[in-house]
Parts: sequence; C-alpha cells; structure tokens
Amino acid sequence: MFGFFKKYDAHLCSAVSGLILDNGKPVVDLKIERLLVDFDSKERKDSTITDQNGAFALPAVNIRSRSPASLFRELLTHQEIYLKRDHTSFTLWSTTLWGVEPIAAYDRKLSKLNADLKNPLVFFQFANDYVSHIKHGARSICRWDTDFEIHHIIEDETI
Amino acid sequence: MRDLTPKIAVKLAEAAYEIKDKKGGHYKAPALDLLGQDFDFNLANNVVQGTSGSFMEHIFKHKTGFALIGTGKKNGSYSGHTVIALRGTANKRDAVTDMHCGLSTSANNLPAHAGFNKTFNSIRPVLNSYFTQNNTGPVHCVGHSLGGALANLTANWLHNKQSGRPISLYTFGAPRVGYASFADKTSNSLHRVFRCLHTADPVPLLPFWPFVHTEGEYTLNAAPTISANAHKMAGNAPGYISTASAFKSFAAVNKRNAHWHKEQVRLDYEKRHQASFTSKWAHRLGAALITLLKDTGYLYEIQHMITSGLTFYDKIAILLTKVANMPGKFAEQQRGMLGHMLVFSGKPGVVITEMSYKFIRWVLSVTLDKVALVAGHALSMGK
Repeated sequence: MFGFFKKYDAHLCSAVSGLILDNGKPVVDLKIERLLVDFDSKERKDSTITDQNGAFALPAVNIRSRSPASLFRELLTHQEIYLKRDHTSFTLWSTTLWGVEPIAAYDRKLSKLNADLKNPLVFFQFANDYVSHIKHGARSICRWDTDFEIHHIIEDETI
Repeated sequence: MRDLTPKIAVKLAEAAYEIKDKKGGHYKAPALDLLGQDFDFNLANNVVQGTSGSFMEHIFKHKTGFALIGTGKKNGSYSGHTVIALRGTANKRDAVTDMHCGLSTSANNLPAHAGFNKTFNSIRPVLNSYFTQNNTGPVHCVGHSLGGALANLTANWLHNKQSGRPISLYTFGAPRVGYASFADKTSNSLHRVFRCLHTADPVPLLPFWPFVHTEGEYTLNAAPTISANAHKMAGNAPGYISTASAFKSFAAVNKRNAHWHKEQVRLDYEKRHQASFTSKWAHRLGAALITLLKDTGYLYEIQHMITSGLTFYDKIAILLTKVANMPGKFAEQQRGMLGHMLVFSGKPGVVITEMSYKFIRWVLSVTLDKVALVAGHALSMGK
C-alpha cells in the first residue's frame, strides 16, 4: 500500500548565529539550546556555548528521511532555541517550519539571533518571500533592524 | 450568528497541526498567536488527544494531539462562541486510517467512513466531557484534510447531542465522509457548512462515489489539473493558508452547487479525447457512470448493496459486463464512458474493441488509481 519509503532530504532548521547581551554586556559561557521536533514526533537537541563576546552559532540541520511523504501528511517541524539562566528560560526563537525546504526568510532571521536578556518576549511577524499577503511569525526576545513587526508582547508564555 | 472569516478558519486548521506533539513538556502553537485577539486557548487543558492507525497502535494507546478548543474572548466579536480545530494526517501512523473505505455507523446514526469514525471515536470521550460542561453558544468546527472529515463528524455528533446549538462546519481539502444520506443530513442539521477546496486538490475527490459531499462548494483556487501539491496547507502552489487568507469573508468566495452526481452525462466515444486529468472530468466520469447505471436500471441495485470500496467497483464491473451485451444504445454509451476514462487515465492509445469483465474492471481500476495515486495511495484493485 505504501510505496513511499524512498529516502529524501528534509531541512529542519537554518544555520543559527547570534549574540547574547544582558543589559548591554556580553553574556559569556552560557549554554544555548536548540530543540527540533520533526514530523515523526522525533526530538533532536543540540547546544553550544557563548564565547567571550556573547556570540554563538549552531549549524543547519538537514536529515535524510524515510518517513512516508504521502499527500495526507503535512511535514512540519517545531523549532525552539532558548537559554536558561537562574532557573528562567529565555526564548530566542519559537515557531513552526512548514515543509522540508529551507525558507530564506527564516535563514535571514536565524543568522541574526541578537538578544538582550532585558528584552520582553514578543510575537513578531516577518515577510513571506512567496506570498505577500501572509506573513511568517515567531516568538523571540531577539530584535532585528529590518523586516520585524512586533504583533504583541507575550505576558504568559504557557498560553 | 457571526461566521468565522476564511482567514481565521484556516489559521485554526493550521494550529491544529501544531499541537500534535508536546515540545519540552508543553503544547505550542505559533498560529494561535494571531488568533489571541479573538479567542482564548488553554493548551494545558484544551488539547484533545486521540489514537489512530493500526491495531498495534490501539493496543499501545499511542496518543497524539488531535484537536484544540478555544473560546471567544469576553466582549469580543466571538464572545460566547466555541471553536474546535481538528488535525489532519501529519503522522505516519495516521496515514493508515485514510484508505479504510468500509462504513460504520456514525454519530448521526447514518453510516460514514469507518476509518474516520474510528479516529473520531478515539477522541469522542474527551469531547463529550468538554461539551457536556460547556453546553451553550455557537460552535465552529474546523479542519483540513482528514481533520476536515473529523470536524464533520464532530459537528454531526454535537448536533445530535445538543440540537439547539448553532453548529457550523469549515473544511479545507476534506475528503468525502459518507454517502448521500449522510451528506444531506449534514447540510440540513448544521447552521452553515463552508466546504472549501482547490479545484486541483485530489483529496476532495476521495473516497469515490457512492461517497458524496455536502452540496455547496467554496472554490478558493480554480486551477483545473489535479495535482498533489494543491492539497497542501503551506506554500504557494497554491496553499490553503495563502488562498483562504486572501478572502475577507466567505461571501467573497466563489460558491457553487457541487452535486455533480445528480447531473445526467452520456459520452460519445468519438469525442473521448476531450477528457483530461482534471477534477471536472473526474466528476463528469462519475456522473456518466451513475447515468449509465440509471439508464440501464442497475442504479437501485448497486446503491442498495451492502458493500463499499473496491468490492463495490468490482460489482459495478460485473453489472457493466451485462450492459455490454444489452441490445440498443447502452453498450455504445458505456463504450463512450470507458473511452473517456482511458483518456482521463493517460491511456489514450488503448482502443476499445471488446468489453469483457476483465477489460471493464481494468479500466475502472486504472481510472480510480489515477486519482488515488496522486493522493499517495494505490488502490490495488487491478490484477
């Protein structure tokens, strides 16, 4: 019945880089964690440590999947990038990637995950290169100079 | 009563996919960030889990999020309203349910697709306890693909339980759920039914007749050639999120009567090359088959057989073999239909000389498979 176990490439996350400050000062030796939950409900975790400038980077995540690519499946990956400090979690990026292709608009945002821990967490929107009337959206404490529209501040992250 | 806008409805359908799995111990659905102006969602309590798939799945009770429930914000546009969004198939386990084409008795006491019923039954106890406690105000049931079928069953079930409540149904690229009696009861019971599709989406063509949709059809994109991409939520080919979001209201969407199975279609063999792999021709071929069965007096017999799916088309092949030997014009009408089916299926080179059982069964098989394969499933009726 299923002839769909051929392997194919699936993109789960862009390459990530950024800078973490606390009230303008670099946050050094802090663990930055990434959690990806793919369309097979599989969790992938990796992490890195900020350097003396507060900078960090994580590679793009691409997998070879055997998961059936049937029409009846929407392939989406939840992307979560965060750090924990003094028992508080700070969200650098939280959104869903629809499909298994890289999205250039996501690449542009994830290559500049620049945050100050004093920033409030917001839901923001950014341009969709292919469909102008719908925008992408994500939660983050990061700020970008361009293509960054704050929709609202998140008061309670559990909702 | 205020209807959901296409944009809100499709955003809810999108969010239903995002609550499949917990992330770091919590449900997260970024799509809800945009719906927060109108609705409150308590993801800790109002994500409904269900089981789908094989026997083994049921044994191990593997559960994933299937539905999320929201309530209209007080003093907002939807104050007092409830929304429930159900997920389609986003897990390889769920795909197993999709082609179980048998029937079982559904929540409105009429038979419906057994696979959809089974999945719905796995979430029904949770829905029952929620809606028993929250039993007033309008309800909007939403879903894409299999989620649309589940939204349909949810709406019918809730109407049966609380018939005084206005209940509306919003589906995107949903398959057919039951036979004509089920579709008619759905239309008559519910407040509004917004059945949206892309003309090129193969899923609304499935399962095949005698499965039937509700009558009204909202066309979000009219590109004609059947293609798998047209079923997708995301992207621009054309993508339900994109097309639905472009409309301010359902009144702005092109609505048409889609009870094509009631049309009379008799096809001329010599004109068979006019057929093409489009949903229009999928509908016309279905109508041509029904017309032929009606003309030859077999429709009543076939409609009252207790079979479905492949066995059903096997029975049709047997009846059509009899038609091939009938005196008069019916054999020629049948040749016209089969000729068009071959062109539709991408086999224009096959010339019909004799209409044996084996040949007729093969033509029906390649025709059904042509659509089913685009949807990712071979029916394996041939052989």
